[in-house]
Amino acid sequence: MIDEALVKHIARLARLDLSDNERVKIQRDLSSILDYITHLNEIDVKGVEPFCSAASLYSVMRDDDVVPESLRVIQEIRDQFPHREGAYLKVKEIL
Amino acid sequence: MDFSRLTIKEIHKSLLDRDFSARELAMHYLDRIRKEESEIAAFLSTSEDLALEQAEQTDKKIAAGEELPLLSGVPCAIKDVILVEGLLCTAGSRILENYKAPYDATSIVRLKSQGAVILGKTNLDEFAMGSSTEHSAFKITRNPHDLERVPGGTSGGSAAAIAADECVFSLGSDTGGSIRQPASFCGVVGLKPTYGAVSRYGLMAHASSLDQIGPLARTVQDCEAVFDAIKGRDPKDSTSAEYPSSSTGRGLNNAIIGVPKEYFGEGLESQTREIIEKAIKKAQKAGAKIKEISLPHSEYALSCYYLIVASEASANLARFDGIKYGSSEPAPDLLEVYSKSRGSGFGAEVKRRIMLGTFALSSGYYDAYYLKAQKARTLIKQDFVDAFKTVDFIFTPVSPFPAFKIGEKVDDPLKMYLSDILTVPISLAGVPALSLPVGKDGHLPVGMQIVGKHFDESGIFQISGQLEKILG
Repeated sequence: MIDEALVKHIARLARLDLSDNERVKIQRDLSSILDYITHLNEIDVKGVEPFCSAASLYSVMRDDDVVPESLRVIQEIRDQFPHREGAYLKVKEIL
Repeated sequence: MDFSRLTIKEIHKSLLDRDFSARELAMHYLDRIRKEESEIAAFLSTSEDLALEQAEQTDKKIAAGEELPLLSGVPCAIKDVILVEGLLCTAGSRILENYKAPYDATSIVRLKSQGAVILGKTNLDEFAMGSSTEHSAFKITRNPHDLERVPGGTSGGSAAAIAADECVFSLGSDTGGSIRQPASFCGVVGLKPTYGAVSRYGLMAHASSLDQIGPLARTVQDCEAVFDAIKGRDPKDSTSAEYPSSSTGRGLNNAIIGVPKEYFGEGLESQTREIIEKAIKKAQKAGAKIKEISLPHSEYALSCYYLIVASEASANLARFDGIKYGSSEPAPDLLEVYSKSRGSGFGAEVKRRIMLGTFALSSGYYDAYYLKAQKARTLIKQDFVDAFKTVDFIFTPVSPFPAFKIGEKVDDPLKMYLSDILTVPISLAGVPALSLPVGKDGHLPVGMQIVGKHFDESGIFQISGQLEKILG
């Protein structure tokens, strides 16, 4: 079921550059993993709600206030931008 | 002074009695690391300056006669997927090879506030994806019990460092068995806490509906001391819970222990089975009531788990795109910066999971794979809810086999995934579980998985501690 075109399509969706060799291997690996997984079809899930959380969680709300982060941390994060101009993160033009 | 294999309480007492200083203890462990690392390779980096500075703070407190928290001066190691301010945090990945943590994870803030001494960062499978630590982009960690074998994974470095006496305790993270399985393979105690029991702020996200930070240590009591220090609600992690103080209050003498038949079936090696059954018999002798139970959807857990974990990982790892942090490949346009940076920065297993997850979430396949897995997960969780109506704890093996040989499974993803078959259902249900060393298959340690009700870590510690004594 997993053919070369599908592997290319998924890789594009995942924004993932793959070499020809990697594509071949992933096509093979995904096929065998999905083969294994097909036994999930035996379970009757009629009327079963999809899982939502492992904890009995409730919606957590907080006041919509800015909690200032330390400037030192901000500076540390900025210093690790791969490309920057002044205090700004720099990216390639989109349009 | 013999520093080897002291427990946290022994260290605490010795520091108070001034038998040795925190600095001497830290120097001893840094020395141990220098000696052992050429063989074990449990650490990706060491933090000597930080360790000595922290040790000095403990010594100052002792000199000033101040109150000394239990973990003060105790040397530890941290899985390299948990942020420690100022130290590299690579997640075992090329894409973060030079990434320096800008702040402390909440679990680290809590360890530091007790005065724990951080010796370094431990090796792991890249982004905590794997079962042997062989998927690290940097090095192969070896099992201290047999250097030809893996330490388990993904917290392999954290488990091996304790087994090789390179630290007193460590932090790991567990998504589908990543604390329990290496603890089992290396013969140490490891706890995967209840989902929500420990803040994940500052833990690099793998699969957010499953990830938990937890302690590894030499003894149950040490493990409990570390868990007590890191547990509890954190405003910076909205999935963390206010930790309730209730417990079943059951010891081995009055506990009902469930033994699920599905965990003792095909694939379980006979030596492992014997060791686990012997430990269960010992528990019975100590007064526990043993009850055979069924967790009927267990056989679907592995498939369900790998679909969910890959789906969540494919979304979580979208942030590594060559833009905000990590390595960035030059390319003519933005899209290519993303795909080239990710293509060259991620290793084979990470790519495989991103592809599987993207597939399972993609239009046309979502209902058949992701949604189906989420429904199966509801049934798997319900199995545990039902079982815990009649039992207090569940005992199972941690892994169907002891530590396997380096290279044995690394090229066959399905074979590797099967190592997790007995730990992933517990993760899907979100309940806590501890791996306790209960015997050896030849020279290889075997761990028993002690599973408890949501937030009944104290119950798990109590009966694990009793078993530890009995099995001596």
